[in-house]
Parts: sequence; structure tokens; C-alpha cells
Amino acid sequence: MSENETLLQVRDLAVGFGKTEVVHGISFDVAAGETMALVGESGCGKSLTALALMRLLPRGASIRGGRVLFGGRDLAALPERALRDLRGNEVSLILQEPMTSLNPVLPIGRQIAEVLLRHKPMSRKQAWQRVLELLALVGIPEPQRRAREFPHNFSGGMRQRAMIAMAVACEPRLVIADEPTTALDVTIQAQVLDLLDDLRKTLSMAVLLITHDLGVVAQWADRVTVMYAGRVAEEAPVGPFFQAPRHPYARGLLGASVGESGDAHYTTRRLAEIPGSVASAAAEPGCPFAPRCPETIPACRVRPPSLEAVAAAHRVACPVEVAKR
Amino acid sequence: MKPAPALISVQDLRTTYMVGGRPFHAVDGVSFDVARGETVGLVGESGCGKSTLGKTVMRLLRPSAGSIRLDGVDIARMEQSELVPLRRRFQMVFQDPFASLNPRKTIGALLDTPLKVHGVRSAAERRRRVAEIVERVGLPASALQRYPHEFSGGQRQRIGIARALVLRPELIICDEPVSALDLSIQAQILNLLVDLKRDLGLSYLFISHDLSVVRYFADRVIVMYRGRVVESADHATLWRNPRHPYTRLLLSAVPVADPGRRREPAAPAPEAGETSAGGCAFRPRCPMAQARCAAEAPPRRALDGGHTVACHFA
Repeated sequence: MSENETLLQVRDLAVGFGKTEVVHGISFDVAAGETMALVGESGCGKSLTALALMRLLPRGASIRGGRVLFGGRDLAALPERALRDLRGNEVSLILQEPMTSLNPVLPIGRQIAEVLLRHKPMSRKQAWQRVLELLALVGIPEPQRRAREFPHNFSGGMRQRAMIAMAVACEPRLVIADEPTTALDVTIQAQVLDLLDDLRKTLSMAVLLITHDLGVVAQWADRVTVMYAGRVAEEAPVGPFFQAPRHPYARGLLGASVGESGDAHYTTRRLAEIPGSVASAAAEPGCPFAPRCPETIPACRVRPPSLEAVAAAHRVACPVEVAKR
Repeated sequence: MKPAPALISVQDLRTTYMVGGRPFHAVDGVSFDVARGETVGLVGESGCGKSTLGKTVMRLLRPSAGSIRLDGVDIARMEQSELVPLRRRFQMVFQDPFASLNPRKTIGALLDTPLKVHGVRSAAERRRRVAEIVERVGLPASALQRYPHEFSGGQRQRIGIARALVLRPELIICDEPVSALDLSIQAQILNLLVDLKRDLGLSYLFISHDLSVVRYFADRVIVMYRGRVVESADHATLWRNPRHPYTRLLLSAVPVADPGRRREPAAPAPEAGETSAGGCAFRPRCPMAQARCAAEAPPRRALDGGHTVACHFA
């Protein structure tokens, strides 16, 4: 996927609440047509990053610096009006709980039609026709009937399909999906992510998939960027990453994962633990993972390590690993 | 694997809610045993009745039919007053320990209360037991003077486990105990539960929607669908040779953390629709369904080695 043109370039993006910086100047790319997974545990800043890209940050949070380059424009600096033309049109967002992003008092079909009417030169009739096509495209049976129903009439999986229909309505070039299946059952998760992946191919969109689930990354992403405490720890294509993760945190995560070793059972293998918790990073001047890391050197405690290449398209923010290169 | 006689034996258990004036059986004729020292995993998707089953076994809910025998004594129809002395023997660990911990009480007080209720009169003895359990679950002694909000998610779950264990129970019912935790913390808690089981000879009924966790943690697994048990087997058999089409669907949907083993895209299965009364509840989603499945609910039948399945054709 890396031979494709770069669609989104995030450079030194910093996000904070009040005096507290939460995302500390992160950089990553998303190539046209690829699925890039942004993974990390709760509080690492992955969701805040997603919202910052769309400039939809919650009250009190703001972008402190950096650029979000998309199609030659800097979304971090774009006037709000221009941004509104872009949202839902060229870039769209899918959130974890569709119930909170859908309007409960409007029929599903009308909500999707609104997106089309806002961005495309269409009559109401044309928009409605397109809504029915979109509902069929995302696998919602009986689009004629379902389009007139309200969000509460839909099951969780169907609601997320409706959200996807809305997100892809204008055939965006980038879909940002923040934990899109975390609230869903595992059989429905597989269907929804397969659907999103099919649409990515047929509509040649890129997907920025934000998740905490390494299984989801392995099954549906092309590349992965691991965040820890508001910084990027590692980025790599999924193949090399799952074969040999380089950052001690990424290695720890895979070792701690019950699913990773397939048929492991408590009677035969103890899970690897990452000691401590993310809170240990709070007062750390150096690498945020250093307090939990099994292999620190003095350099780790001086300043946060920068991302450096260890192989093709594989970068890691760890002086110990970079020295092994 | 059937070691000692069952610690808890559930027969034809049914739990009924009234929904819009009509009875709805969230648990509908479930039977299983948990042997001493055994971990039984209970899996299924949301709404399958697994949490209701856990609460009914715990007797937080009253079953509408069936029996729950704890060491041979049926607790299914006991009044709460009769249950109190028995509760010492079976305790529960919840998904969200924060919601189950009184925010105005220190950890010390939270752990002291159950001992008082269960008649440990000597304050010195209670202090000794509280200190012992706090150390056992890996919390610092200083935790006793602090309040629940001062702890992280993983530490709160340690408090929840300490509270369940302070009475030295034999059976712990764990309802999604690691689902709210980050991966790196999940491993810490699972390892702790494994250690406690080994050191204290506990039995677990481990309820989870996460098949990977259950595969790692359970000796035997029960799969539920719409209030019924569709399959049960020891953990190795269930993953090596799942027989029920629902179990197969469930196992194949679990995303494996290995890009070299990408799964085939899921066949677009229909959403669970209405089922004809009397037929198999899984029929609308089942790739193997035939006419008989609409007419007749499949009974649970025994295969080799304690493996059971409720399907006409599996």
C-alpha cells in the first residue's frame, strides 16, 4: 500500500485540555486506499487525535500545534466554513455508539439524505433514491421500509450499518472510524468490518481505523500505528508488526494478549504482564513507557525518544531498539 | 473431566421477566454443574441470558423454575433471610467494580462490612483477615485508608476481587471481570484469578462475551444462545471440534491477532429474526436449517466425553 500517494499527512499534532497537553506532537500518514489502524489503550489519545483531525474536539480541548494536511490543505488551519464543506463529503467520521451520533427524532433515511443534500447538487427525489441504494449497499434489508424508521427501531449492528451508509454517502476519500465495532457482538463486528473493507475497495477510500483490539488490526488493517501516552511508539505494516513488534510496549501488549498465542491455556502458559499502569508516565521527562519498561538505558530517562526507521516503512520510538538496527 | 462431585448443580433453570405484560424467559431450561476446583466459562452474545443466569445462580434474581443445588441443598426457592448464611460460600465479581463499590467508604470499611455481616465478632480478627486479603490481591496496605475513586480500573477490580474473597468463598461467579480493562491490565487480573484459584482451591463460573479470554481461562465451556445452552464441552474439544452451527459462527468471527491467518469474509448472515414457537431459536441464522428445525426445538444430546450439543443435525 505504501506505493500509493499519501492522502493524509499529520505532522507534530498536539492536542490538550486547558493547561494539560494530551497528544504530544504526533506524526503519521494515511495513504490513499489503505486501512491504517491507530491502536492504543484507553487514555493514549487515539480518539482525541481522530476528533482533532476533523476539528470536532470536545469543549475545552484544542489543537495546540501541528498540521493536518489533506489534499493540499491544512485542516488544522482551515476556516470553519470550508471545513464544513469537507466533513461528511471528503472526510467522514464513524463513532463507536451510533445511537449518540444519530438524531433520535428523524427517520434514518432523512438523516442520510441531509448529508447528500448538503454536499451534492441533487433534488430531494434523487437524494431519496440514493439513500435507498446506500441502505441496500450496506446490507440493510427492505430499504424502502427501513429508511422511514427511526434509530431506536434498529439493532446495534443495523444502526452501525446506517452510520456507515451516511459516512460513505458522498464517497469520501477518507473515513475515520473510531472503535466502530467495540459496542457490537463479535459476529456482528466481523460483518460490519467486512462491509467497511468492501466499501473501501469499491469506493477507493482510505480508512483510519481507531481501535484497542489487536485482533481487529491483524484482520482488517494494512498498517498500524501504536500510540502510548499521547505519543507514537511504533508504526509498521501489519505483517512485520505481528511477526516482530519492536517497541517494548508493543511486544508487551502482544505478550499480554490471550488471543495472540492461539491455543494458550492457563494450565500451560502464564500471560506476560506489563507491570504498573499508564499513570506511571505522568511525571516522566523521558520515554513515557520507561517506568514500565523491562529494558531501559539512561538515555530513555532524558527526553522522549523520536521515531526512527528500523526497516522499510517500520519506525520505532525506542533508543534501545534503534541501536540494535 | 469430572473430578469431585459438583459444588453447584443447576437443573432446568428458568428465569422469567415480564416484558409488555408477557412472560419472557431470559434463561430457558439451563442445566450445568461446576465441580470443585473447576472453571466453567459461559459464553454468548449480548442478550443470550448469560448475565441473567449468573445473577440467578447468585440468587440476586428468583428463578421461575428449576433448581440450584449448592452441595446438594437447593437454594432456588429460598428466601433472602435463609440465603444470608449461605452467601459466604458463593460470591460475585462484577464487570465494573466502581459501580459496585460504595464511594463514601474506605477500602478498609468496604472489606470489613461483609465480615461483620457474617458474624466475625472480633475486630482484631477482622483486621487481620482484611489485611491478609488486601495483600493477597496485590494491593498495598495503604489502600485500606483510601476511597474507590483514588484507584485505577485494574486496582478497582483487585478491590472487587478482595471483597468477593474476604469471606473465603468456594465459588466465585465472575461476570465479565476483565471486559472493561485495558489489555495490559487484563493480563494482570487474569493471572491473579489463576493464582487465587490454585492457592485457595476456588471454583469459577466465568461469564464473558470474549471467546479468547474464555478459551485461555476455562476448563469447560458452555455456549448460550437465546436463553438456552446450545453446546458444552471441555475447552480443548470445543475449539478443536465445535459442533453446533452457532458455536462455529461465533468461533470463526473472533479476530485472530495474526495477519497471516486472515479469516474469510463472513457470509452475510441474516439478523436474528423472530422464531416460530417451538422451533430452534438459531434457525433464522442457521446455514444447516431444515424443516424439522422450525417444528421441533432440538434437545441437548450427549456426544463423546461430556460434550453436549442441542442441534438436530450437528
